[in-house]
Amino acid sequence: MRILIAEDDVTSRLILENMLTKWGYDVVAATDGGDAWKKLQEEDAPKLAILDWMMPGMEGIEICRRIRENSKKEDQYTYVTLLTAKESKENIVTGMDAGADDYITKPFDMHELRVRVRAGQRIVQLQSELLEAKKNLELLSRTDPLTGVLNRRAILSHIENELSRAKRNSSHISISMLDLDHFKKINDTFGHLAGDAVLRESTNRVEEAIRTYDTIGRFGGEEFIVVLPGAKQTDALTVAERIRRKINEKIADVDGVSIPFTISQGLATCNGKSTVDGLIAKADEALYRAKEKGRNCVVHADVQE
Amino acid sequence: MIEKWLKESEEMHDTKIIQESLPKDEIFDKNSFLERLLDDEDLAREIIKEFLEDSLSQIDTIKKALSNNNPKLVHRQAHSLKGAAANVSATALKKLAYQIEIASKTGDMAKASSLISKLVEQFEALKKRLTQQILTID
Repeated sequence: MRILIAEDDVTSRLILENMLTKWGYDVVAATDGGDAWKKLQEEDAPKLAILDWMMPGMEGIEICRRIRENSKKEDQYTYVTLLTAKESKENIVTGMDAGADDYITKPFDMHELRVRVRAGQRIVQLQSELLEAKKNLELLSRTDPLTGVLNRRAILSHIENELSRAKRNSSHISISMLDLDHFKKINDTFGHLAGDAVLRESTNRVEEAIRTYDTIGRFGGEEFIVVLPGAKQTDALTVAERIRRKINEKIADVDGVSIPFTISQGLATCNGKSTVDGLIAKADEALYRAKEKGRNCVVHADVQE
Repeated sequence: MIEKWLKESEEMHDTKIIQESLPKDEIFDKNSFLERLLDDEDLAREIIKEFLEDSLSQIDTIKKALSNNNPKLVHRQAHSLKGAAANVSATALKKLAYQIEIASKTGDMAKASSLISKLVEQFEALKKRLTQQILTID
């Protein structure tokens, strides 16, 4: 584990550096406040900092304030221990109030230093586990567990964002409402597990067919939405046709059983002035027409057949 | 056998009492210094070398700041010297540095100036002790 120590007094710095290294920590040393602050802002900066209160350049307490201000913006935590002379113990309240987690008085008691650093290490580890768990949960809350693509809520919010972007940039946005043909029949004939496999296979193939900045999400059941930022009507038709061909390329192979499947798509395009519901309603209506037309085809809402 | 053990234990007890009744060494407390460094003698030597060098320039800065009437600088340097002295268990020097720190903080430069020769004297005494007791450790 890496620890930053910021201390202008050479004796204190030597003691800290030597002891912490002896205890297996990786020490990054700074000799004044400005240097310490710079080192704390580097990528992969130490998460545990031992800062002297009185330092030239920037005092420990000021660094402390800045760290706390910064951590509001960024998703990370730095554990701060302030160093202070025994005579200024009354300053502790100010220090902890500025965001310090702990303090150590000088001259150091090595046994105390060791256990306090260990306590800090525990907090840093807990924090990073917590942040990791939070990140995973956020990801899970956006993901469809079966197919791994965005779930309904996430794809809807994605459309919302892309709509406002299109409005801002006066650009276009298209969506494709995509539905597996006769999916109930697949389930009835081959079983639900095979049906699940076909859903997964479909999203894999769609992902291969779309552009890097396009996104697919599961709208519900066997219905998916592909968001095509910047795509006008003709671009949308091109991508949709590519998706259709990719699906038709070969029959799905589920544990040695061949399952034929096709999809229908309804497209809608707007210049950012539509609402999410409005755009989806248009695409849905086009999808209905594609089904009427005999399935395995693409229909754009604004194109009359 | 038991007698021998009892005798030894009495002797140990006596030594302990004698040690406790000795006044604590104000100039330099070698035991407390080494104890705090968990008896790392290499580190002790390194710290003392740096301390002697660094303190000398700090005292110099304090002297200059006193003649330039710069209480802020006196305060900062005295504070720094106090911390370093505490680190090497030099209580007498630490106390003097602290007095200068307080005096300069309240703007009493006359008092701070009156203490500086004592501080230099104390530092010389300490330097002698440190050279004898630490720098010559094998």
